[in-house]
Parts: sequence; structure tokens; C-alpha cells
Amino acid sequence: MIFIHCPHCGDRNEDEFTYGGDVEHRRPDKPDAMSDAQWCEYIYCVPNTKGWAKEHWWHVRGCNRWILVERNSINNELRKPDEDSGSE
Amino acid sequence: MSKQAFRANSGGRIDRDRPLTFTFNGKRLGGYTGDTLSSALIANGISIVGRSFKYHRPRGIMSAGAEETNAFVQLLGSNEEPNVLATTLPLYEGLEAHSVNAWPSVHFDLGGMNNFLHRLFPAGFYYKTFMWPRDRWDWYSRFIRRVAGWGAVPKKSARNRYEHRFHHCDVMVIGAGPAGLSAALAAGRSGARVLLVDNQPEAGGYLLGDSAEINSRPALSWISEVVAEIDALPDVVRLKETSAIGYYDQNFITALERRPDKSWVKERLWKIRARQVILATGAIERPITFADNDRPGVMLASSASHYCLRYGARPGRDAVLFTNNNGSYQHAIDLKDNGVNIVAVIDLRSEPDASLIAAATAKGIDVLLASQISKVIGVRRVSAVEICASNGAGDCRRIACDLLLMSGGWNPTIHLHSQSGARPAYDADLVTFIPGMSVQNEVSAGACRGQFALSTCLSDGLTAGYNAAKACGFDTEPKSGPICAAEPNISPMPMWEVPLPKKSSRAFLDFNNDVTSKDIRLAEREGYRSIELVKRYTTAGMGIDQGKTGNVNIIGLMAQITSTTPGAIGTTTYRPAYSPVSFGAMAGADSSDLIIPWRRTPITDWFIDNGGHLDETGALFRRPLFIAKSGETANDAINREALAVRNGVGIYDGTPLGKISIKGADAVTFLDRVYTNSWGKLPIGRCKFGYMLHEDGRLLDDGVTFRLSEDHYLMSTGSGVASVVQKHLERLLHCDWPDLDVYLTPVSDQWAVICVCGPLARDVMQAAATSIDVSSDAFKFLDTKNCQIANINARVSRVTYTGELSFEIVVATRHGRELWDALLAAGKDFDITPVGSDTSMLLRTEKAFIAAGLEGDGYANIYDVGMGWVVPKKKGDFVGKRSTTRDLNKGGPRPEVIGLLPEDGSFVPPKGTPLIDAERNMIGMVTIGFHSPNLKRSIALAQLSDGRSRLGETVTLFTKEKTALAKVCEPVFIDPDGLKMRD
Repeated sequence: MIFIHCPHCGDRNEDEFTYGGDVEHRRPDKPDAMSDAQWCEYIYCVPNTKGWAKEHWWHVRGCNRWILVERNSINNELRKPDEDSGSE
Repeated sequence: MSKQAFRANSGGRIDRDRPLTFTFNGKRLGGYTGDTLSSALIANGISIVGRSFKYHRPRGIMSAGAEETNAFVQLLGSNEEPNVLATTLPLYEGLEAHSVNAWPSVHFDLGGMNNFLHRLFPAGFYYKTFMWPRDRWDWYSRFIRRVAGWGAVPKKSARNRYEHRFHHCDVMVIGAGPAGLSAALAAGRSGARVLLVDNQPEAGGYLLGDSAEINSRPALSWISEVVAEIDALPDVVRLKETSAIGYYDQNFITALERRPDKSWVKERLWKIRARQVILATGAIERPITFADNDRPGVMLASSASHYCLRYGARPGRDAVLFTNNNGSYQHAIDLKDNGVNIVAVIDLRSEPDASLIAAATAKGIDVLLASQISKVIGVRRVSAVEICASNGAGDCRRIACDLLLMSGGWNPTIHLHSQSGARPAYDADLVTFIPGMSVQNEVSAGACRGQFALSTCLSDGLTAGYNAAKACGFDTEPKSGPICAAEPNISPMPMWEVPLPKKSSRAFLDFNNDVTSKDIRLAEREGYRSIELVKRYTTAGMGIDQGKTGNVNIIGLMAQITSTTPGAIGTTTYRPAYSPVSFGAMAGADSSDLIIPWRRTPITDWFIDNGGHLDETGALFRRPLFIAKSGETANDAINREALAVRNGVGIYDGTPLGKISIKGADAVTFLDRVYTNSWGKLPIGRCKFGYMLHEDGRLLDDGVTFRLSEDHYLMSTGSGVASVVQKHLERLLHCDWPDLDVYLTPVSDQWAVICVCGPLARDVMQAAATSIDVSSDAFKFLDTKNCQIANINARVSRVTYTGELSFEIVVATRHGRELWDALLAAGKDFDITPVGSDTSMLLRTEKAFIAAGLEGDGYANIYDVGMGWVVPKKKGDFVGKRSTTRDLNKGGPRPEVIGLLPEDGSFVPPKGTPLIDAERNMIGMVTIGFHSPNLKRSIALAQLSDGRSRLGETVTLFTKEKTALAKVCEPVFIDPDGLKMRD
């Protein structure tokens, strides 16, 4: 059970959170302008980064906010995300 | 009851004034308070405690701790439990146990014939022996199932209580031996919050059964002083009989506490988050691999002396020690001092530490150097050993003995260190694996990092404790450790297999799973080089004991066979749990009624009292499927309720509906983006249906959203998907559209929802003293208004799930039952009929209102379910739109929802029935079928390939019993123009 730092509540156990996916996997601004192939790529080829990645986590059993977490998928190491990356 | 023939008259930590009686394999025996089951068995001279897994060889107790590989028992009585370690089970009055793997008894086991057929059971015999003929596996497996496995699942469910507990601390110390106690003391003195766990009933570790001295006094007096000081520290928690069993990310550690003090809990699983962890888990002595090393009476040297010193239980009368290291001489001397005759010490080495030979000789112990044991005589108990020179010179000789002690060196208990993600390293001097680089905030101290001398254990523990406290911000002056006598290095000689005397001899590596050195050699010959594959092929290290004693010997033997080093072979992966964990402990309090905490609506009690047939219907609600009158069958009740709604009036508890309050200046923009339809023109006081899609175009939910004020909307969702929709919307808002001024609040539990539906619904509303005009002109379909009903503040809306004239009434949850009772009273003259959710499902099927989880499965898009009309022609982007247009771009037939009228009106096609064409290809599937009492015939909805273009055609339904024909029709069976609901 990983130990996630919530900027609003402090360090909390993983079971208070719900995983929300890779931050890089943003919803495209203009889906209509994309080809079918590009759209499929977005929908079905979800990033699964080996190593450090920024992720959304939802503190659903806590403050109910979505937070940014940086996690190393190799060893589950966590670190605070960069301030300029839109972290709340 | 026989007397304890192998019990010393004095000495040890047992209380001879408090005798206990217990039963093992049907025999009543005596022991003392302070005994474990295994020490009591030894004191009674019980040499056979079980039979081995594969060959059913008689086995005795081999060790005195968690590493035990033979002495697993079935605990009987009200606490029945399989595979309990006799070595860690404290004896109690009336304990009842028997051996797990023997039939009919441990002394005469029919499975013992396997021992003579052992050539049939080589490594990987499962894969070899039962491969032909292929179709006989079922027959073989029946036989194998009967003889394989340990213990028996208790017939009755456990009546014991279990619980989970969370704990946070600065420093966690695992193990309360000399290193762990020192560490806990050092860290505790600094003021840090310390948690000290140990798997024994009392602190002290190996010193509880050892003759060592600290500060020139018995070690146990030092221990009692330290324990007293630790227990007096306010921020130190010390747990007894608690095994740390798992080490996970960010210093998250699970520990199993057995028999907590003064508690009704049998076992407690601790979930611990520690800033710093000190592992002081000690070391486990290693067996030596020689022919018949598994005979009852062969025991680890340290364990034998532990039994003698701690429990006054002598594992034998005349013992031979077989060793490869300096560490075991003291054990032989201690045994000799406590009444066990040491006939000889057989040392594999030619030059052990001279002081040890002198000490042994001074005690009258014969030491034979450069010698080895080639043979063990005796099947049910060692009776003699045959000793030969290691170089094969000279004659071998036989020595009579009833106890054979073995000491093949020591393995640091690196399990938790390895579980933390670190890689162990091989130490050639110690001939074993020691902890490698830490990857978490963790440090090993004492014997578990290969520091075996008592003085180093103590100083190592102190240093680790100070450092850990300092890392947490607690700084104190280090004190120097206590003083102990010097000890020689253990200097073990690598010896992975003593040459076997005969081709048929077997030397055991994994006693628990009956894996011999020959199995390892066979695996290597057959090409298995990776130690992970050798493990799986031979099952070595996969037993209940997880190879605590055997694994390093297996790695060493593999290295020897392949002419490399054990370091190059490496270890297998250490995984939780370190010791066996009961299912009860894992479940904690989540058993029986607490597995699922059912949610209730204000009306649930009424249904329970009035014949409601409650069942799970999603989101942890138990709702009535129907409300049966006495003597009614399920079908009777559903038909009666359905007729009442179409012809009279029904009342339905819709409270489980999900409700999300949506507020903010951008609420309309948000709704436009998450629903397929447009929301800009919805006036205040009106509502409409919306279809919500996943981004991949599949139906997520449908429901009604109300506009309550300028920028306040209330969305209702299906009860089962309320939390899914909430997450979906929250994610979009927070992650994708943070610029939108919209706030969501889940309010499902705040409001009770009651629907009055049917042609007479309006009459009931008037009779219930509704404060507004509910006539069709004043209160139109899809209107929503605040009012009072029976003097309760309410919001009423004209929405429907049945296709009838309906009023959906929303009141604060605390008024739900009051409203329900008022409506029942008001509807009495109209024969108002409470309706269950099965009936509701039938009514929606008659109207073909789409259910997202049935007609809209993981493949259907909004056009497939016939709801394409809700997507405005020129609507901008919304979630799921692009995936839907991709479906349209692809072309080709789609599975479209249609209605079915079976030609035989009494045949109700079950959900999932395939539709087939003339070539018997599947072209569709029934999503739901019912007998409609209103139409007096069966109806169904189905997905059918290109269904919309097949209206009027006949298709074939294919069930197990028969095929049936059905006519494809428009998916609506009653009131196709919706006149009734708009009335």
C-alpha cells in the first residue's frame, strides 16, 4: 500500500485514493479534427510509463480533491510533482 | 497420563507448579505453563509428529521456532485450524491436536508405500507421470486430490473474532532478541514513537534458551531490566506473539498479533507505517544434507539446546553433533551440562577453533575431525549413525545415539529485507546470504546481517536504534553497550551435500515438500538452471515453511553442480507472508453480516414488514423485487403489481437513485459536454432525459436532470452507477476542464424519492393534500415544482420509468417514511399497490426504455439502442461523440435494439438467448424477456445485427431445450406514442 502525499490532507494510505491515470493522457481539445486512427490511439493506447510518471489520484475518501502525484512505476517511489506543472 | 520422561527436574522458563494436560493424536499428555506444543511433545518423548508430504516418511520436530518444517498440526476443538506450527503454539489446558498428513495414523501410514515407490515420484512427476493418456487426467486427479495436501479445512465456520488495526510510528523494531531490544531501547530513550514486535510470548529471542552472559550475569537478567525500561517508556509499544509478515512500499509493514492481551480478539492484523525500520530478525540454523537426514531424532543443534535450556525438555538421551562450524560447540556443551549425553562431535573441518576443541574435551566430549555421517540407522527414531572420514580413508564406524544434532551454518533471516525490494548479497566467509543495499528506510542489525556474536548484536542494535531515532529528528547521546565474552567466528565450511553411500539413498533439502538432492540434480540435468525454475519444477521452497531452512542449501547445491558460486545463482524472490496467516486474520471484521454493509432507505423496514422480497440491486442497496401477499408466488405478485400500474395506481421507492447537485456559472456548458443532448434551452422548473456516454462511445448512464434555479441543476443517475458517474464527472472537471466554474455535490443520501404512477396517480396526489394544482394543464409532463404534500415540503416532478402518468416526489430522507405512509393512506380508496424493482423492470420493458447495463452493453453505441434522435444535428463536442462518429465512419451492420414477439406467446426467452440465422450464425442476443400480464403474452428486447432494417421479419431463438421463432418489431409494446405518460 503506497503512501501518497495529499497537498490538502498530508500523507495518506493508498486505500483512501482512486487512481485517475497518467497526466499526459489529456483529453484532446478538438476531437472532431482527429482522424479515426488518431482517436483510437488516444482512447485505447493509454500510456503505461516505465519509470517516473505524473498521475492523477482522487482523494475520494479524504478531501475529495484530485491531486497530482509523481510515481516511479518500477519501485513505487513517490515524489512531489513540480510546482509549475499545474499541481493543485 | 504418562509422566514426562524427557523433562528435567529443574531449570527452564516453564512453571512446574502449573501443569497442563493436552491431547495429541488421541493420547492424553502432560506439560507445563510456558511450554509450546512442541516442547511438551519432546518432554513426553514423542518422536514422530507427522508424515512427510510425498513419501509419507515419519518425521519429528526439527526446530524450535517459526522455521519448523515438519511439526504442523491440525488444532481441534472450537478453534479448529489446520497447519498450526507446534513450535510456536503456546500450550494451553485442554489443547487437542493431531498430525496433518497421515492415514490412518502417524505410526502406520498407508501412504508410506510411496516411500518404496519413490522412483515413480521424481521432480516434476506431475508433469511426467500423469501425461498419458491425456484424457485420464480427471481420473488421476481424483486420486491425487485424496492423498495430496496438508491438514483439513474446518467443517464449521470459525467463531473467532479477528480485527485489523492501523498504526503509525517513528521507529519500528522487528525482533526482541539482543539486537532488537538494544535498538528499541536506544530509539525509545530518545523520545521517538517506537513499535517493537516479536513473535514470542516473551522478549529475549535466542537468549531465552541460551547460557550466554551479559555484564557477567545471566543474559536473562539483562533482558528483564531492558524490557522493564522499555515498557516504562510512554511512547514505546511492545507487541508479543506478533510476527511481522509483510514488508511493502514506503515502509508499510503488516504484522499478525496472536492472542492479544485482555481481548476478545483471537488474532489482530496490524497495518503499520513506520518512518524508520530496524530489522533484528536473527538467523536460522541450517540443516546439513546427508543420507536420511530427515529421520525423527535429527534436529538442529541450536534448537535442541533451546528446548533443553528454555523448557527443560530433553530431545534425547545420547546425542551426536554433526557440524561444519564453530557456533554449535557451545550448544553441545550446554546440552551436556543439562543432562544430555554428547557421545561425539563430528566436525567436517580438519581445523576448527582450538579453544572449542579444548572446551569440549574438558567436558568429556569426543571430537572427531574431518569426518562425516554417511548413514543414519533407524526409521521411526535415530538409533545409530555411521561415521566415516571425509577423505574416505579407514573404516567407518557406528555410534549408537537417539538424537542427531546438525549444524550446517547460519542463514540470516533476510526475508523482510528482501521483501522491501532490496537484493541480498552472498558472503563467502559466512557461506550464506546477508542483506544488500537498503532501498527503503530500513536497516538490519545483529544476526540478521551476519553479526552472530552476542557483543556485536548488542552494539549493532544500539547503533541502529540511535541512528533511526536521529533520522526522525530525535537526538540523544549514545551510550555504550553492555559487555560480553568474546566468541570465535563461526567459520563454516561449505558443504552442500555429504556424498551419499548408495544410489538409492536420499538426502532431504526441503523437508516440507520432500525435495531431495537428487531432485535438484535431476532438474539441472533436464535443463533447469534458473533457481526460480528449479524451485517451481521441484517445488523446493514452496511448502508451508517457504524454505526457511532449506533454500540456501538448494542454492548452494545448484552452485556446486553447475560449478559456480551461490552468489551467482542468487536467491528466489522472498514474498509475504513470512509465517502462515489465517483467512480470518486477512478478513478481519469483514465476515458474515459485515462483509457487505447493506444500505437502507427510509422504506426498507416497511418492505421487510409487508412481504417485500429483498435482494441486492446494486450500490449495496437491498430492494424489494416484488411485494408478495400471503400465498402469492413471485410471478403472481409481479403480474398483480404490473396490472395495477397500468390500470390503477402503483407506488415505488426510488430512493436508491443517484443524485448529484451541479452548481456554477458554467453548469450548462458542463452538461452539454457530458450529455449527448443540449441543455441551453431548459427553463427553470423543467427537466429532461439525458444520455451520458463513456469517452469510447458506450452508454454510461441515463437519467433525468432538473433545472432548479438559474445556475443550479440536479442530476439523477442509475442507482448502481451513482459513484461511477460521480468519478467520471469529477475527473473531467478537475483534470480536463479545470477552467469551468462548476461544483458537484453528491446528495444521493439526502433525498428520499417516491414515485406514484398509473392512471389514478393524479387522484392519489389530490387525496394526499398536494398544495399545488396537479391537473394536466397546470402541471405538465417534465415539469418540476416545489410544494407540500401531507404537510411535508416536497419537490414533485412529472417523470416516468413506467410510461404511465407519474409523479416523482422528493423529500428530505428523514420524511421519507412519513410521506410513504401518507401516500398509502391517501391511495387506499384507489387500491394503491406497492411495486418492486422486478415489476419496474417489466414495465420499462413493455415501454422499451433502455437500461444502460442491458441493452447498452460494452459494445452498443447510442444509435444502436435507438436513441440517436437525442443527439442534435449540429451539437459541438461532447464526451463519447468522436467514438460514435468513428462507429458511423466504419459502416457495416451494427447490433441494434429491437423488440421480439415470440410466435409461442407462452415462451419467455431468457436473458442472453442467442438469435441465429438460417446458417446458424449468431446474429443477436436477447437482452431481457418477460411475460407481460398487460399484453397477456411474452415479449422481449434484443440486440440484432442490422435490426432496424429487419422489422417484420422472423428470427430464430436458440435455447438449450429448443429453437423458437419470434417476430421482430419496433421496440415498444404499449402506448407507442407516449400519450399516457404525457396525460
